[in-house]
Amino acid sequence: MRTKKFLVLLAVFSILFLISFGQGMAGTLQDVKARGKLLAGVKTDFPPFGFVDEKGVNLGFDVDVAKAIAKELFGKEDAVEFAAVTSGNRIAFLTTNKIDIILASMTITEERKKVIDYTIPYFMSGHLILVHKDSKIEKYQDLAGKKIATTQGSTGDIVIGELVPNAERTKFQHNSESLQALKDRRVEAFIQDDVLLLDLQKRNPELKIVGWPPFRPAPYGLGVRKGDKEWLDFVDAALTKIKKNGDYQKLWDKWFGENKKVLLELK
Amino acid sequence: MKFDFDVIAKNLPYLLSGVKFTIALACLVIILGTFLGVIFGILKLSKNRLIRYPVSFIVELTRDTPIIMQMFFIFFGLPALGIRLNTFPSAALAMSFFAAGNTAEIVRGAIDSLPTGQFDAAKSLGMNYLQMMIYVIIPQALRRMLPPMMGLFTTLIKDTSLAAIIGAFELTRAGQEIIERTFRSLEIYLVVAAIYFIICYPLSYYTRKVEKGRVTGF
Amino acid sequence: MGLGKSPNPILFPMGYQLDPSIVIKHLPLFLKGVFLTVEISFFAIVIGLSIGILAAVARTSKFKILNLISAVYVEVFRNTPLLIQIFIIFFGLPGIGIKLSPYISGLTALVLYVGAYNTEVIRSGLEAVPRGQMEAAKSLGLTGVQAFLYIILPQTVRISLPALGNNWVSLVKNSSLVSVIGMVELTWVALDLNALTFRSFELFGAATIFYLILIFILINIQNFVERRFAYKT
Repeated sequence: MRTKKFLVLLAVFSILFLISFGQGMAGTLQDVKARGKLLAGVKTDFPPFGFVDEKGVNLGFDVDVAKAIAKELFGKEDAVEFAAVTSGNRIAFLTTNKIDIILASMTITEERKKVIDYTIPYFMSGHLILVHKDSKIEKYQDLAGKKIATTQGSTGDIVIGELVPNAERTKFQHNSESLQALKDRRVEAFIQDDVLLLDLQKRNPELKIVGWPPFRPAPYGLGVRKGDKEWLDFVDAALTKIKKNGDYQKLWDKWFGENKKVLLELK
Repeated sequence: MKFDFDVIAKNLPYLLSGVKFTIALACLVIILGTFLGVIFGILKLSKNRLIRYPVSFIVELTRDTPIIMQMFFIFFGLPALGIRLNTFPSAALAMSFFAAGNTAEIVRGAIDSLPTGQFDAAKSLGMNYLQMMIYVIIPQALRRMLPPMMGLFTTLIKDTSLAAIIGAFELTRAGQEIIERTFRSLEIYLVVAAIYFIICYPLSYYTRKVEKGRVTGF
Repeated sequence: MGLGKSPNPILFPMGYQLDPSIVIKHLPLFLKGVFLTVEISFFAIVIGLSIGILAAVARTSKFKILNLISAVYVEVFRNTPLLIQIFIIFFGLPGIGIKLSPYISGLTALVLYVGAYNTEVIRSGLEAVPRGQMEAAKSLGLTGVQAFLYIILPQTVRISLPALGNNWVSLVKNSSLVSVIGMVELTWVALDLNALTFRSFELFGAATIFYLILIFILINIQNFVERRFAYKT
């Protein structure tokens, strides 16, 4: 009797597998304007792009860019609600309409372009390696065969998988967990974007950054749902505007000013 | 390493703000799941295959796969079919189906454990199927269902923690956010565990009392 | 729309081109995940059974202290989420100097969790064995320990088999949680591939089917074992 049930189950499931239909896309710009506030997906584990303070208030470069876009939409900066996303779920949050836009230190990649649309680039980042002060590792080639930590869904993980395929990778959901693994000496290195590691190293002086210069650089872009041209054009225009009127540079200096010498330039 | 009590004190309010959502999710799932489950349980008894097979299918599917996988499928996978649910609804739906599937099994077990004499007596009194169910079978089954259902409730409260994995905000996610900032994993997770314990233990304790028959049901 | 077999399936807003080939392409990784799920579940079931027996004996012991320790163990692990237990063991313990690998952490968490549930089941099994058994065994010249191991325990386990079997099924489902500490079991494989390719429907659908097959096999084993060995008091 149970066998029969299971066979039915498998059969129906397999049939479901073969069904596909889609849904029309409403214009995000109208929806956002009607709603009166922007829903922005930002990180909470990626300073200085996205993090939270003790009261749970979102802070960071991405947060400020979101506020600038809100200002373009509604004339006021705080017409924006933040949702915490990770590298692993930010795209799902976007495609399930929980957020209107991804502002989560997201590198532009060909794979991701297949499922979402990117705005014009708004930041340039390469990858670096975070290790303990007493580590002998100096460049990514030294990672061969070693235990390393990466964060699920990040380009750090993808890049190191291509460059050093025989490194022993442990993947975590959050950057804080990867960092913890390094601090606990479960792994010898943590590979991520340069700007994140610079911030983490500052707050964890027993660690140091190696692997200079930042390898496999790629620009960050904001993410919107695929095919939503109206919304994409609006955000692009907003970004272009703040770049032209100096607001962008002010934000850049605020959050990255002290690392100006080592960070890559957005061309 | 020193145990940092300070970080607990400072962040307790934030954790408690997550508890609200944990309780809300648990209550929603318990109500929805029990309701659905009882319906499934009774439908499964149907002589009609067109009803029984799809219901059995859903019950087995939700009982024999991990809840987290059901959450992933609903949240990440359903958009492919055009069904787009946020994190909280996805978690609620997945857990409700899980609760329903298990409730249906509990219903089946309870009705099965009733002596066949009950069914015969009802029929011999001239009751039709519906009357038999409402007046004779269900009241007795409910009494037998109570202990395992309470066990299921406890499990569901604990399983709300899984919603954090797809990013829903509740107690566990609140704890994770605090740890992202402070890196005090041991202290924060212990407090989170303690909060779950405080919520669940009374329920477990009461369940045992009911099982032992010291507290009668309805 | 329908089945797309192109090597680079594209996601449209208006329709989703299904590409089951993504699962075929990564089948070795999926099977590796399935194998690890089976492996860790197996060890957790076996060790968890031993823990359950030990804790059940302690729980029914005359020594109040053993009774108390066992009771605390059972209550703590049954009233807190497995996810938090995994986090504490893997992320928290290094804080007091105990660093366990993902595999051992996951295994420990699963063992302690299922052990707590097993304890209650075996305890009622113990109580269901007729008291006369112990006296009869002793009058035949067996020591207390021998009587327990050869007479009482087998009966206890056989009585508890149905409930124990349910715990095993739950365990396999719960093994999906060790994905959060980076263990490359079935759920982790699905999550990882999803982060890279975003083919969520195919990947999580496939993982669900794998779990269904595993549980189906396990339930059949459970039924077989029950028919052969279990009996009601």
